[in-house]
Amino acid sequence: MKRVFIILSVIILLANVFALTSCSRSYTAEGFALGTFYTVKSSKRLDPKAIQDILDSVENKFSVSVTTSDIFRINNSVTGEWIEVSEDTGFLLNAAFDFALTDNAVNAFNPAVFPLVALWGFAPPYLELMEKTPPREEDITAVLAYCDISNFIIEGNSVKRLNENAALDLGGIAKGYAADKIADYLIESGAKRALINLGGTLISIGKNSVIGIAPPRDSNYSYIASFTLSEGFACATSGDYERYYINDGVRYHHIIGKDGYPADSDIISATIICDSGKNADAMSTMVFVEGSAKGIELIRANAAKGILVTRDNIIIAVDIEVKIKDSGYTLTIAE
Amino acid sequence: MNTDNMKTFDYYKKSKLLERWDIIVAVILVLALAAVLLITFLPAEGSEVEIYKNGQLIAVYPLNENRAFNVGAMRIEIFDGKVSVVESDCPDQLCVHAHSIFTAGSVIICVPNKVVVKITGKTEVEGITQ
Amino acid sequence: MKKNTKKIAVLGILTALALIIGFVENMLPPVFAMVPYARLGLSNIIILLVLVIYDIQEGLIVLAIKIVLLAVLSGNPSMIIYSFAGGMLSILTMWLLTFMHKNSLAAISAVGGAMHNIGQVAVAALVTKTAAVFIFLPHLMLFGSLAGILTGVVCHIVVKRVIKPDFLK
Repeated sequence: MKRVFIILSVIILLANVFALTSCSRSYTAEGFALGTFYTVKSSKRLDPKAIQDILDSVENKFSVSVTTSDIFRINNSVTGEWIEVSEDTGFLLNAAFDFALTDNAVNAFNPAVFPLVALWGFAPPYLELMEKTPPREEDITAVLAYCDISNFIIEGNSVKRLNENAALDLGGIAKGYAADKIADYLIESGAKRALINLGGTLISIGKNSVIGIAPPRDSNYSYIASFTLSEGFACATSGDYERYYINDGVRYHHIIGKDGYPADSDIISATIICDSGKNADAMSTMVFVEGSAKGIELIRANAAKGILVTRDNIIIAVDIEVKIKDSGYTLTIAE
Repeated sequence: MNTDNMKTFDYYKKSKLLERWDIIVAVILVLALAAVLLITFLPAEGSEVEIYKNGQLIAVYPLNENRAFNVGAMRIEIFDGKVSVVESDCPDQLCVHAHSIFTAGSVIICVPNKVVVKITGKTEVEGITQ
Repeated sequence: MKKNTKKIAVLGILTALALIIGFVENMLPPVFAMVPYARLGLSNIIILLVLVIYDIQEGLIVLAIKIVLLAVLSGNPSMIIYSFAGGMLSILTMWLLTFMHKNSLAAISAVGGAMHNIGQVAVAALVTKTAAVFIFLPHLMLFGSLAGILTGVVCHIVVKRVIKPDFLK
């Protein structure tokens, strides 16, 4: 009797050790895609090629520079000519257009803003970005005129351009969409726990992940604050600190606002947490453009959560718990 | 059952405060503690920089020694415990204009050259959103 | 018959003692917020004592009653999983060591304390669904082992001085 008990105890203890070690085993796939670097960590062995293929396929559909991509073909089509695109493109364009028409925040997210982005110097291949100078006011006004989604008609999987100067860019939503695709793939292939990091857009699967917020300005830390990304949720950040140039002491960044100039609200970094990568991506741009007051409303209207960093080094937590790491910042809870 | 109990009870009644076999237990505990420490904190916070090209680790250097070296057409410098890219042939020069890195987990990336410069060490966060 | 009554009475008193020790311990603030209920583990004195005087069955009963009552009476029902994971790992390892008759009580209790903390951190990791809590394990294990040595010494003194050699007869 005692012997049975002993054997049972030893088995229980060994089983615990085994469970503990297998909990922490993780597989990683890393690489370059969509103009950035990605890391995928999973509890199940990964097929790196499959992941790279998914990302490359997204890039080949939405890139503004790959000549065979759907977006490139639309942007270089003859006015009035119908262009056939893939289902993914049709789907994402419709989602992007919906965001552009958000009540109270029309064109805060604008998939047709590409001509302005190019005018300001932020179109690939970003030649000598840091040496650029801002464009003239009259050019901005002229180009602003055709940066509207009304220059495009979508019917099923066909898209038509109505103005030869108009151009589409899904850059503000493609990374989130690509991350969603990777997440779907991982779940389908049976991964129980995973963390996807596509150039700063993250999705946490099957577990909660502690995530840090990148410093928008110089910092002694690699992140200024942290939060928990719950399982099944995605987060994306829009900020003025990654693609920008400084000219005459003024910072010009790549997120062009409704007036044709780089968005100049009270926030310099907006992180959105919600249940879909593409929504988090698009919303982070919208909130960044609109500023904290309207941004908080938008976040709540979409049942999402947010972390905003203002120019005065204040971190606003919108319905989520945030832990400050860099004491140069102060935390406020949005009412 | 009772006799077994009495054996145990009597044994401990007579036992000393510390026995010879305690050393083995102590050693095992210390080893276990060391293993846990190593796993959670290895390697030391932000002590080295790793250079990856095309996904392959090609170099590891300590941060406390100043040095400058080339990776393809990029020139990388370690100075005063910080790492920066001083020259690169990429069109956007984003890697050159990035702030120098020195904290565990920080990275500088050059997409055209497929180079990742990363400071080693564990961070409490599993990823950074930017 | 008389022995059984005596045993039940003794176990009852010991369980009550373990409960009281547990209550007092809980009044101290938690060391780490992410691993709640990680305390000094002083009630190990009682558990180890039961293992020495009696056997694993009695130990399990006392442990189970103490875990449930402490959690319920202090108003923290969620405490049960943490105490259970830690307590089971702890009592099983301690039991395996006690009847090997090779170690002192201080050493056995140190191991028990360390195992208890491992169990608690493992449950915390499952509950928060993140491995981030393991960062507290080295600290907890160190202090758990040290506290274990302390409780082991107290237990040793009780066995040697307080209980008469003919206790079981």
